Amino acid sequence: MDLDEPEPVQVDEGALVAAAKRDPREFGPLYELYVDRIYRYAYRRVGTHHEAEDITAQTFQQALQALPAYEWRGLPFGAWLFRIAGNIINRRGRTAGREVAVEDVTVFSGFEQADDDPADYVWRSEEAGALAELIRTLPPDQQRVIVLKFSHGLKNREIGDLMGRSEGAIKQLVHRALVSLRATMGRSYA
Amino acid sequence: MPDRLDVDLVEDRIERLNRAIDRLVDGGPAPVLQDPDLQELLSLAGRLYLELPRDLPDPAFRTRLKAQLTDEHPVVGHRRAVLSAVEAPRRFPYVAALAGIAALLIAVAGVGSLALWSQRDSGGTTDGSQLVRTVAVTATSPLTGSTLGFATATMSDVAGVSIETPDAELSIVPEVTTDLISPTPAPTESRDLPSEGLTPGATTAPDSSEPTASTAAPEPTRPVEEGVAAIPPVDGTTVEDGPVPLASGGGSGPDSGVTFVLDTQLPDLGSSSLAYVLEPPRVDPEAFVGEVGAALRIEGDVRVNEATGEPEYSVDAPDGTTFRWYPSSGEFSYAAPAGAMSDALDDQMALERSLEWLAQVGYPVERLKQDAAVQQLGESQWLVETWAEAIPQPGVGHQLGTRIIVEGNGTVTSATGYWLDVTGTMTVPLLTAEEAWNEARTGAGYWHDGGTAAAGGEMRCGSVTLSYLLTDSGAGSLILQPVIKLDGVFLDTLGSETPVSIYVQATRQGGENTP
Repeated sequence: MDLDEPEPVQVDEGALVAAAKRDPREFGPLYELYVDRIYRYAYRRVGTHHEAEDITAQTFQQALQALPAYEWRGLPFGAWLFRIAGNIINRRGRTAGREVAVEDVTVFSGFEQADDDPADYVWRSEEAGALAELIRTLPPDQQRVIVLKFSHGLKNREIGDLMGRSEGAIKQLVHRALVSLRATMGRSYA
Repeated sequence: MPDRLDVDLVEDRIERLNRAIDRLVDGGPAPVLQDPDLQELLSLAGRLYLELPRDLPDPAFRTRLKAQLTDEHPVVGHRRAVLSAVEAPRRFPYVAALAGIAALLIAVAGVGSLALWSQRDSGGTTDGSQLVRTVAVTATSPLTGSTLGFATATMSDVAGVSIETPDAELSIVPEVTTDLISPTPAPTESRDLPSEGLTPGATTAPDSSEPTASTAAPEPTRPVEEGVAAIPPVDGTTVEDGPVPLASGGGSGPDSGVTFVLDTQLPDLGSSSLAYVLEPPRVDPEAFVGEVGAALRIEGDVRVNEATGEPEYSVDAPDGTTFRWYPSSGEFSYAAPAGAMSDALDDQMALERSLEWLAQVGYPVERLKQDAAVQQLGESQWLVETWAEAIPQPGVGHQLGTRIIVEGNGTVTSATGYWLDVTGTMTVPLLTAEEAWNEARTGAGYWHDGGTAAAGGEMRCGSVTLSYLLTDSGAGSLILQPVIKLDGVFLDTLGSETPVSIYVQATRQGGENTP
């Protein structure tokens, strides 16, 4: 199987925004476009998955709430999302009395500078990007166990707590997920 | 059915694989498994461990959040179209929501002639687009001291009448107000709108640079005892730009690499100006949100989210209607499903509906300017903006007031704003324009718009004016402080030119303030 990263798809964000403004259920494509990047942005700054989830959720909830008043000015929709996320992180740091590093809050012109690097948009490497795409083809529970195990580095027992399963069931799920992924890759990884 | 031996073998394989994976991710020496199939799976596990980023979201979280965002927003109207209700006798907003109001109604019945339901005077029209009210009857919250709701009646009905409910938590004191709703407007008059505001697409946002604090200041409500040192700095970490940032961006200035060119005469900005201390209502946030939720008929428990640092209190309905309140900054936001499509509204009715909504949730509408801006956003959507009275508006971010989206069917689908009281003012000494310019040249201040300056460029300043920014004091209050605004263009290293504004703190540090 070809592991080359697919060509980036040109997305008409203006149309997506207009559709979501008409019907919030149409927010899905915008969400899919940015959720991973917002999450990564949050995770890099707060350092825990728990907090990154909170910030990501709050970011998208605020954006959806404010969408009717959002004025499309041709800037990427993500610029707005990064600003919302940045504000949430700023407030969090401010309230917690922690010093917020300048680079963490510099979202000049709405762009998170760390995300201005096109090579950084999706994954750190093309191969990892392709791998992640393949993982997304697995059943949801197998996707989850792989991410929790190999990205988040959780122990089987911890994964079991999160997924409401026994440690033994998680071991089986890890095995199944690896077998499925290998099949999906057509053994071409070796 | 597999025999026991097969099962044991499979379980043993799974166990061996997992033990090897655990050794791998624990950083131990790479294990080697004799079974080629297991070894292949282990290699794949090793690759996943090495190549997968550590910052991937949990897929379950990703899916769950998407479902929350998109599945809980039904579009088909199941909410009552408000316009039809406007034409019908309008009830006091809290009648259905709060049991305590029932006692009020009994009391009203006892008074006899007092009608707390909306009435139209004999001089009113009957087309529903223009309601004639001679006075507003307001209900006052003991929590906030602010308006909980209003109904209409004639002056003779309510003058001098005071009613209190037996409900200790909610006293309702009708009071005659004339500033909220002017008496008997002619059918074609706009009650609160400036004439130009009636034009679809027009807005009349106050220019923050025009009124200086010296001319727009209210009587100080409470002297500020803190000195100039209480004025927070103006940079990317302190500027408060509202419940949700607007599309344009801003942040701290660049450290280096930017040259500065002054293309204008530096003006005399005066020697002092006012700074304002703004504070959210001092109430129990949970009770407050519960009260607002009840007013909006959101039947749900108040939830508190403190995970992100700034506590958020919210109440959510199953249909996606939600009200959020941030007690540390006085910001609120509301969202609701749109309901059935309709374009039966006009500017005046959109304004009416917005004020009605604000009063319904208890927002202190009496502290808003009498003029508002109404802008039709599409075929069936209106944006109504209001501004707090007697204070200047910040040059960046949300206005100190409200932004409300009203659908053509009268449904308020979005509302954001600040819910703040002016609790103090102080006169602060100002930098000169030249000093502010020199400050800006060091990269100080808050930069707004202008493109990315990380790679350097040239800032050409075309004008210098006095403006205001809302900043977080970090001590439970917000400071609306004077800033010196330098407008110009930013030319980046690639030659593109974009407008830029730099807001430099205007308060002279080390000076004496005058409460």
